[in-house]
Amino acid sequence: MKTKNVVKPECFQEVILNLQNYWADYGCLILQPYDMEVGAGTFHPATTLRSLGPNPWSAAYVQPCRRPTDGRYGDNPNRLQHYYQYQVILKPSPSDFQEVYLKSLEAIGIDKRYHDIRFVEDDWESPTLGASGLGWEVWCDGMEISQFTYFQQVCGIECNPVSGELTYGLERLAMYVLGVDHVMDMPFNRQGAAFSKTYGDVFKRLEAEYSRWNFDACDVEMTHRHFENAETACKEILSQPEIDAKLGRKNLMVHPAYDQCIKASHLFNLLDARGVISPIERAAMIGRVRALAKQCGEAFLASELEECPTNPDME
Amino acid sequence: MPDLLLEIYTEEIPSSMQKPLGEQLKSRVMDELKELKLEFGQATSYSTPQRTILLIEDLPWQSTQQTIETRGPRVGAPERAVSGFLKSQNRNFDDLETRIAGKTEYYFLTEVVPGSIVNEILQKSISSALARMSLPKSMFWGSGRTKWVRPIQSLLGILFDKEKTEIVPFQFAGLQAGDTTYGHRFMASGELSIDSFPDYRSKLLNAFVDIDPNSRKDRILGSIQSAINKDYSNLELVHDEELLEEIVGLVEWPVPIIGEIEESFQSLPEEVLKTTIKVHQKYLSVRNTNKGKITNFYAVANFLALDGGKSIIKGNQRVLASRLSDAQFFLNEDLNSLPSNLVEMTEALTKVRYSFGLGTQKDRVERIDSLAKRIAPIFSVKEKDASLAARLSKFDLVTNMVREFPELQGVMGKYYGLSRGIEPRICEAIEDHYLPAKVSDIVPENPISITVGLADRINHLVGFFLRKEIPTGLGDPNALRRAALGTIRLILDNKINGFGLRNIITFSVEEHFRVENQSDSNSRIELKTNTEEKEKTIEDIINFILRRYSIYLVEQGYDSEIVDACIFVPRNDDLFSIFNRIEALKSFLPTTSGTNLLHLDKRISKILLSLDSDKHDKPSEIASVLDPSLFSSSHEISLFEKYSLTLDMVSRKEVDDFLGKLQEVSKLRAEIDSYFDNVMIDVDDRKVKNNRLNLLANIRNMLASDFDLNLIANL
Repeated sequence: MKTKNVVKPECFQEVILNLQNYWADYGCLILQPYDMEVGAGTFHPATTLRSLGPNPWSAAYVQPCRRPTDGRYGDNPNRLQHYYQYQVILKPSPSDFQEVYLKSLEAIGIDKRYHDIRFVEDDWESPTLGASGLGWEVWCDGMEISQFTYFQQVCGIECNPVSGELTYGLERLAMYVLGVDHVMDMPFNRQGAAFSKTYGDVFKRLEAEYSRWNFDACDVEMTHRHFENAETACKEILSQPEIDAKLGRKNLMVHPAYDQCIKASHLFNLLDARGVISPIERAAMIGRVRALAKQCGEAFLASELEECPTNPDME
Repeated sequence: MPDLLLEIYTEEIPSSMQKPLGEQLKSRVMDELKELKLEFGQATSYSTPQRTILLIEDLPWQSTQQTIETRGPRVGAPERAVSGFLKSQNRNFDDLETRIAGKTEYYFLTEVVPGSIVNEILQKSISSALARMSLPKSMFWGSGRTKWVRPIQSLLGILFDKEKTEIVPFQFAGLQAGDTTYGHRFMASGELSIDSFPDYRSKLLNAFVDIDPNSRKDRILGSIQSAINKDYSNLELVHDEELLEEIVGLVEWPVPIIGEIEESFQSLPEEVLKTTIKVHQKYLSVRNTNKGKITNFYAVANFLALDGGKSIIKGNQRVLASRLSDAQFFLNEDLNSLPSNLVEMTEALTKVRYSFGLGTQKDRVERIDSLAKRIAPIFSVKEKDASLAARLSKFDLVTNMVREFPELQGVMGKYYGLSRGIEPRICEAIEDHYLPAKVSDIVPENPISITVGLADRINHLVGFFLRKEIPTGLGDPNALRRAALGTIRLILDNKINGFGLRNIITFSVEEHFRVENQSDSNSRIELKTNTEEKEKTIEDIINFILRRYSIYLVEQGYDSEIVDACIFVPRNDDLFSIFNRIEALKSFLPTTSGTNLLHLDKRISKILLSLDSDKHDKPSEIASVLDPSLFSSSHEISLFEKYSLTLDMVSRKEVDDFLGKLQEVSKLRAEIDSYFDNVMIDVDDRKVKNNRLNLLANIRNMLASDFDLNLIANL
């Protein structure tokens, strides 16, 4: 891969654009965000489901993430209930994964000659997805700028081959690169142009609105009902006969089922932010979402292996 | 004689795993070589975040020749057998030799195996040693099916002496070893080819890698010290060995850079500062001796930056400032919102679970409270003080600070307690009832801390034992072993006599069945246990603690037989009394009296056991009231008289005068010996026989409640 001459980003969107270009040049599919509320980029089916089974895969995308409990009404310099992650998934993980990652930092203007970059032990786990992996958080001058993981298990299923996952917390990374102390002050696009906006111009009022909604207003009974509905729907979709009556052939509805699993996970996060879940219930609900994820993963794997029974590359 | 150098070059291995990994590699390879009877000298392992290194000195180039002998049929066996044997060995009749083995003459074939090339042996042994490693936390990567701590990038294996270097091309994880390695990730580029260990060491030093953890530590301390001497005479490094060890495993080329803590944060409680600096950022704290405060820190970078570290320290200061401003914010929130009567916080603890089936933290605190009140008199602590300290022991779990910085539990409790005017000794207990948690922790001496600490740990052990969540194997998810060890050290280090575990554990078990002690029935599982099971649980807990006690004392250098002879005595539950007995036995055994005692005890237990196995009455049934009228020989009468005298002496000794008791009983040796030499025990008259055995059993019983001398094997 050739390293292009990169332009040092001057605003939030240029950080994203540079990452997009870098990973496009590397050979990733540049996908778009998943159109559902998720807590992390990992939930995108392009990561969760595609990391299962033998088929090679490489993709990169921005994913808006919702973490209701992290809302601070837009006042905290770096805590947000809605923020962006940049997500990269490479399967199988390449042997020069770390090198490739380090070059992506140069692409967003981190000059390695001036900074102390470190891979610091961090074992990753997503209890709701039944997923875990080993890897690091990457520190730049003492600040965590990315999460770097070799998936070992997803949806309770062992990964073979292993996918490498990169997650950049975009706001935090951009604040660092741009030297901004409060996220709301960060230039969203280039400043000085006729139409220039800060991150706060775009998101400040949303943070305040959602914080109120997440913490106080969201109807607990209704949300609980939605959670139950999503769970039921997921199971029902998967229990349908494999043969599509109209097509007259197999047509497993894995992705529609997985959507309901994602939905259940987000609704659980909302209830958690409302502080209405007792510790016991909490563990039980996480277990219920994990059970859905497991069923979806198994269904995906079954249909994937059917389409591609043997893959000579993977022997 | 050549040396072997191995390097496994990987992606960053967690600091705490580096040394154990190197040590295990060393011992596995050594085991392989020993199995092959290959001689070698010194073996040393080194490590960096990216390297596991092994050096084995003084191997041969060639192994020595060996003669292998195979035995065939005996001489005179049918011809078919002999020819079959020759065929299977692919040899001729002329090769046969005959030799006598035992009483029979056999055919033999001998084969001289020439020495083989050590390089070839090593390739196999290293691969098999690597495959045999047991790695507690390991992973797959890419499409490979080999597990290691983190992905392996390359392997180096060379065998070298002054004249030449050979590659040892062993294979592992789909890679083959060569004679090259790489320098520092950011400060060197390209491959380095290596022909010896000195070459390896010096080329890597030139490429900014110091492979020796101790030398990296010296570099850090040296560089900090010289900077302080030169420029900052009023500063002083806060020494923290544990943190240094960790940092040494985070860098291949340590570059300490000093940073400043903003003035406004310098007045945060010192523990808060230290935690943020150490736990979150892994910086070394620096104290200003004029101000008496922590004002600076050292970040140890892995990199010599172009600008001398200006950007690095600027970045680190910014991260630290943002963390400290979080801490400041939460601290102020807590100070503003905590009630003036902190006991009210107990209600908030209903929100936090203790453990599944054991209720909330409020339930826990209430149980600790009643236990602490029960224990308090032993330490002359006022019941009211013990109770207040117990009820405040966990309230900080629901404060913002502890939710954000869990490692500050206890510390914040003390701080907030002081802010609300709680007596300092009680605040101290809120903080240090958690101690000792680690081996290096000090043991509190404040009686209130000891009271609450013991109550907390006993309650913890009892709860999980009742729930049957008992640690097996290596795992200890609920930290029960730590609770047991904490109990042991609190009692031992404070020399607490007369703390009967059985009594207090029984009380705690009953507490768990009191219905009113349940703030959240939702998170509590009905405990259904009958009296018999309760009894068993109580004994299980005591035995669990006693087993930890035995392990702990042996680690402290005590002889394991002496320890066990004093610990594993029925109904034993007073830890400090056990310790006194161990000290007594330890000083008594090497003396002549000690030899006498062991001698007589062995003789008695041998006969009791042998007659027992001979379907006679069991020794336990024998030890009962003696009937002096059945004695006939003068030897047994004299032994009986001496025994009665001794029994009287022993019973008049102080309960913990163990040395005195041992001394008294040992004096019976002469009488015992003449008894054995002159009295026939195994006679037909059952009554007489039992009475004779009975006398011996009674003698043995004089020490049975303090010692089990059977556990001492060697005279």
